Amino acid sequence: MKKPVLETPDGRHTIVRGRLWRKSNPDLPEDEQKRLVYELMAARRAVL
Amino acid sequence: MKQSPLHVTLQTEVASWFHSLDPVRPDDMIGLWKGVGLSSGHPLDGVLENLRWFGKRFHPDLRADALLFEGEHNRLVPVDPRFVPIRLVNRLAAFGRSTPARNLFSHVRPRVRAHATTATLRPLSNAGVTTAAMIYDRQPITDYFRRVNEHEIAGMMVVESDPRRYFFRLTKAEAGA
Repeated sequence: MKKPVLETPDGRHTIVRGRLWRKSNPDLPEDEQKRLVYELMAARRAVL
Repeated sequence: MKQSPLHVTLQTEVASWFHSLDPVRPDDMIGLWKGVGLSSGHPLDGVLENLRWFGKRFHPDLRADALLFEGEHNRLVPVDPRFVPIRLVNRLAAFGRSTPARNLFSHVRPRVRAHATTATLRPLSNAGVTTAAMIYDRQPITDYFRRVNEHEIAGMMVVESDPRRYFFRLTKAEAGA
């Protein structure tokens, strides 16, 4: 059976194959999170 | 508290291995660690895993989530050790390895959740070696740590007035991003 992906108690990281991966801040409102993700992706596209 | 000769031999062998390891500094412990118990003839052998123990987390201020378990919705849950009477748990260890105990604990876990850190890391001397140790706030328990390799630490849990030692291994969850 596939092991579930665990989260840290604060919900800020997931643990995948023994490594910590940062998640979006769970306290951010959904609209704010979408806006920040859009800006991050736009900035990444601009430097590629 | 009488132990069989096999348990005594196991305890002696694992303790000898533990004491051969290098000490570790408290700062080196900061982070999230996945734990697994070592078979060492201790009553708790296999109990924590059965109850879905994940490991420990040490914060930059050297405070610790002493007991982290896998909880609902796949989120780790820090459990308050004051709700885990260690001497009683040792006596009921056979039950602790059973499926009913696992199911019972999954229901109890939300009620015994810790709402703050529950232990402190500091250097402490054990067997003539000063190494990082985690002292529980509200239990007569100290965990001593030694380095196995770059990513792994061995732990030895000492309960006051109990000659038996519980041994475990911790593997660091390194940052992926």
